Amino acid sequence: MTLRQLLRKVFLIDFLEGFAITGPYTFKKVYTEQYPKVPAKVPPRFHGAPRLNVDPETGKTLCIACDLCAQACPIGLIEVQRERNAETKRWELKGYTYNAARCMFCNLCAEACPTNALELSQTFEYAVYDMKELYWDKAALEKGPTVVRFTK
Amino acid sequence: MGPQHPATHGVLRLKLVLDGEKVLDCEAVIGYLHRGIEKVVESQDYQQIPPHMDRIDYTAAVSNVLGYVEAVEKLMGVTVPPRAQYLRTLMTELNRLASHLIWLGTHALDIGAMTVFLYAFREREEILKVFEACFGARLTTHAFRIGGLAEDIPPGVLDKVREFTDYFPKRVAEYEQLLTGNRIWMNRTIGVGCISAEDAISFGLTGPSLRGSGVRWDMRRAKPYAAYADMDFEIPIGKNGDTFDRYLVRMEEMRQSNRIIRQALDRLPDGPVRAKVPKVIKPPAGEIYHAIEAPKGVLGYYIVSDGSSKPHRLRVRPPSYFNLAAIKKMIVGSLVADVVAVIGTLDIVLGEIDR
Amino acid sequence: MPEEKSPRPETPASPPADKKPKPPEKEPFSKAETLAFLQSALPDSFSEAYTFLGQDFLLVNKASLPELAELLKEDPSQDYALLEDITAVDYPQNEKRFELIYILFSLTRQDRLFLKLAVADGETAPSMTGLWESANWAEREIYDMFGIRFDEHPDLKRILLPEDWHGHPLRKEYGLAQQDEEWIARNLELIKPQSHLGVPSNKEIEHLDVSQPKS
Repeated sequence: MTLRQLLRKVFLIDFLEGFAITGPYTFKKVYTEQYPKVPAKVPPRFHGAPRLNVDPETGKTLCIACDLCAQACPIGLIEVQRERNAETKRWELKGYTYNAARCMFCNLCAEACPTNALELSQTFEYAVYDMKELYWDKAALEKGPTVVRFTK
Repeated sequence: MGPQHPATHGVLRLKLVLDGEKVLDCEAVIGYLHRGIEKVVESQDYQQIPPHMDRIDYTAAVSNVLGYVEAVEKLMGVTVPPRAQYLRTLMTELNRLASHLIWLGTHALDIGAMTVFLYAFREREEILKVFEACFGARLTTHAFRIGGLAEDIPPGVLDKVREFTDYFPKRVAEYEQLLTGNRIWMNRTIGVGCISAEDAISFGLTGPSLRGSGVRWDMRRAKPYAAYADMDFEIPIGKNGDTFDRYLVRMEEMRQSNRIIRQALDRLPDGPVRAKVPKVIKPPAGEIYHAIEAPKGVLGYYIVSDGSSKPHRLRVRPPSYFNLAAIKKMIVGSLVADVVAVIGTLDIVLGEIDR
Repeated sequence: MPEEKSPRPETPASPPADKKPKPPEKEPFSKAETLAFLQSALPDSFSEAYTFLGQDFLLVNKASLPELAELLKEDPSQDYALLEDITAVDYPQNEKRFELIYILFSLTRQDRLFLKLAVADGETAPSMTGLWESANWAEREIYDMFGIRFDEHPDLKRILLPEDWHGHPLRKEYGLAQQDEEWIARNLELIKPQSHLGVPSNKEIEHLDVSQPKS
C-alpha cells in the first residue's frame, strides 16, 4: 500500500467521492409517485371508467338512444334498450348497460356519440371484488364508480 | 426452457437438447398466446380493428396501428394531411424509443445488469406520459384512425417532447457508459448468436437483427411511408452479426430516432389532422400489402377486401415471428447461458408471434 | 359482437357519386423487363401478370413455381433475395378455393413481386424451404390455419395451435368462436362456455358466420 492509498483511506476520500455522486440525488426531482397516499393525476384525455353525462341543469340524461355507441364498440359490450315513442317518433332510452369488465378503452363509443353523453372519464380506480359489479346500468353509469381512498 | 421463464419475454417454450452446458439442438414451441386476431378481425368493421392491432405487439402499439391504417388508406386512396403525417412519424419514433428501451432494460436484466433496467424505464415513463396525454392510454394507445388522427394533440405536449429530445442523447450515453465498455457485458455478448448476412436474409430477419449482420436495409428508406421521405437519418449497421453488434445498432437507432423526432418537431406543419373519410369505411374490392419498419422489424399487412365493411382477410406479417425462426441457427453450438442472451437480442414479443 | 339490433345506417358521409374516386383496377404488368425475362426463360410458368395499386402480381402455375422462384431468387437481373411473407386467402366460392401469396422483395432494387398460386382443397403446394429458410415457419402457419399441405417440407406440423387440434381456423367455414371441444375437454378442465353477465357467450356469437357472403 502506497502512502497515497493510505491517506485516501484515512481521510475517507473514496467514501466522500461516492457520497458526492449519490448525495445530490436527495435534492433532485423524485421520480417515484406515492400513489395510494397521493392520488395520481391523469391527463384530461385519459380513457377510464365510462360515464353517462346528464344535463347539469335539468338532470336529464343526454343520451338520445341512437345506438351508435353499441354499433361502434368492437366487442359489443354496450346494450341500449330503447323504444320508439309513438307520438314523437323518437327513440326513448329504456335502459343502458355497459360491461366494463370486457372494455378495452379504445374510446370508439365516445367518439361515435353525437351528444357527448357517453364519455370515458378520468376515473381509473374502480377495482371490485366481483366481476358482476362491473356490469353497469344507467344509474351506475351516471353516478360513476365509488372510489375507495387509501387510509391508514 | 419455458413456457414460464422470466427470460423468454412472454410464454415461449424452447426444447433444448444439451450436452452438458452445450446446446446441440433447439426447437421453439409457440402458440401459448394465440388469440386468433386474424380470425377475429374478419368479423369486425375496418374502424373497429385498430384496437385489436394494438394488442399484436403491445410494446409498439403505435407502430402496429400505423401499419394498419396506412394499408387501408392506400386501398381506399385517401390522402392524409401533412400535419397528421408528421405527427404519426413523431409518435411512431417515440414508440420506437419506448420499445427499444424495454428491449435494452430487459435484455440487460437477463444478462445481469440491473441498473440499466431502471434507467431505461425511467425514460420510457416519460414517453408513456406523452402517449397518455395525447391518446388517453399508455400502452394500447389506439393512436391513429383511418384518415389521420382522432384529434390534434393537446397543447404543451410538444414542448415536453422537445425537452425530452434535449436530454435523451445524454441518457443514451449513460446507458452506453454502463454497458458498452463493460467487460462482463462484452464477454456475454461478443461472438454470441452470430448469424451471417446471407443466413439472415434467407431466414427473413428484418429490422435491427438484420442490420446487425451488416445489411443496410430499412423499410423507412426502402419504401418511405408517413413523413419519412422528408426525414434525414442514418441507418446504422453492424459487422459481425453477433449480439454485441445488434446492441450497438439499436443504441445508434435510438439516437437516430431522436433526430427524426427533432426534425418532425421543427418542421411540423399546421392544418387539419384528419382527412375526410366516410363514417362506414368500405374500401373497394381488391388487395393491398403495406409494410412498415416497426421497432422489431418489417411489419406487413396484407388486406383483402371484398368491398364490404369488413375485411375478407387480414394477414399480419409479424417481424418477431420470422426473427424467432432463426433462433435455432443462432444458438446451436453455444452455451445454455447464451440462449437467454440470444432471446433478448432478437427482441421478440410473444403477443406478436402468436397473435 | 352481439347481434345487430337494427340495420346499420347507410353510409351517410359518403361523397356524392360524381366525386367518388374510381375504384382501382387491374393494370398491365408494370415490370416490363421482368416480364420479358420470364417469358423467354420460362414461357409457360405463369398464366397472368397484372399490376394492382402498384403491386405486381404473377399468377403462377403450380408445376413451374419452384423453378420460377429459383430463377427469381438466383438470377442477378432479378435478385429477389428476401421472401418477405407467404400467406393464404380462402375464397370458398372458387373452384380452387385457396390462394397462396408469396411476397418477394429485392434488396438491391427495393421492389416487391407477388406470386399467386391457386390451390384446391386437399391439394398440396410445393415447399419453398429449399430456397428460403423463412418459408419454413410461414408454411407451417398456413398448414395450421388453412390445412394446405406442402410437399417436401422438412417439419410440417401445427405451429400456433396444439398438434392434435382438429380444424383449421382461418377457413371461412370455421366459426368465429368455434373450438375443438374434444381437445379442450381432454386437455383443459375448463368450464363450458357460458353466458356470463348477460353478455352473449361464445355459443351465441357463433351465428356471426363469416363464411356467409357479406352484403
